[in-house]
Amino acid sequence: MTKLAKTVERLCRVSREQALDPRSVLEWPEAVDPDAWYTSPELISLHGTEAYDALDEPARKRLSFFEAVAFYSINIHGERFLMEGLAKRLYRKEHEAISPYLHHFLEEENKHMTYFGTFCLRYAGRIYPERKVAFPSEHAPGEEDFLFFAQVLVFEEIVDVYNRRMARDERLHPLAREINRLHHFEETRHLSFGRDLVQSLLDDASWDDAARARIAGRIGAFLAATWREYYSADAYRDAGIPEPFEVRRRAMAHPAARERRREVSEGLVKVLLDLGLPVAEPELS
Amino acid sequence: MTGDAAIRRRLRAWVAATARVDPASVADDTSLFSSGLLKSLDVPELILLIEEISGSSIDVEKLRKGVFADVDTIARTFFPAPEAS
Repeated sequence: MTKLAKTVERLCRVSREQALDPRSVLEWPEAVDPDAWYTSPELISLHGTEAYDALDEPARKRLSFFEAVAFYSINIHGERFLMEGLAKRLYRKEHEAISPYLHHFLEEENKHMTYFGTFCLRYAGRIYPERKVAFPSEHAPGEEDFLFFAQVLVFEEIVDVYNRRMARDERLHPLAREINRLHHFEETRHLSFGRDLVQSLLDDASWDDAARARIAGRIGAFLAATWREYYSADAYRDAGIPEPFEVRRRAMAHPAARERRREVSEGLVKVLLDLGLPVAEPELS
Repeated sequence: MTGDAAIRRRLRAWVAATARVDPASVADDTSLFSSGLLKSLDVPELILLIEEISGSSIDVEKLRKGVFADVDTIARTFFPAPEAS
């Protein structure tokens, strides 16, 4: 039995044993408390910048709420992309071995979207819009599948750093903490699956050095694009920050934000390096 | 920002900066994506720029194919000239 097959068997068992229904776990208050944190201050995209320093504490808390809406919106769009890709791959001949786990993966991602969506719609009245547009492109054999699962891995590794930290942050409103905890609880399995699957796809690939370099470049570009989403002009505007687009541009280029990206991406960059995919630290300016 | 020329100038400058090319090499009819100058991953930033200039949000679900083909198409699509009275 291959390593991937063992992982699939183990994760299917754990998914069955630890299945959660978020609808029965989460309690939704009528309204959210404006005097609470919804994002850990140190993870707020403007933290460390002049724009953040200019805010008083109530304004920072307000921003932390809209940053949570932005983070959950990113998750909704990312998980929709993921679910579409997983559904498309179910029972394809080359994915027969992993299809049993793809069912769990899909089921769990669907549940995650319900609590992210409920929070955004109930308390902010909207989900921030998706701005990605996919163009058809040429791929080497196996590259499209590989890029799909590698992009999922990149997306989930970054999200999971935020989830882990905020699940433990007792300054946060209990609902925000619980949403992060629940998501991390199931994403741990998805990450384990993703790492083994990406490694397996890479082992089976017969790309030359030029193709590998191009693929690593695409993953690096995806990582940079993923990070850009964490700087939300929608959130800044809703939090009452003037000139939200200019604030966003400055924040992305700010040394404090660069350092946060580097530090949060550290684990992911190491995972990719171990896979033989050297990816530069994300530069967004 | 108002004025068609100023909008086009800002769009061209953004394209050149994003693609890291000489601004003089980007004209209004330069193909942006089919030439490989920009990648699909650049689209969210382009949309944000258009939203910033126009002051309106864009629904990506309603975009028709080719609206980002070049600066001229972007300007005509998202910044149409006001109709003469």
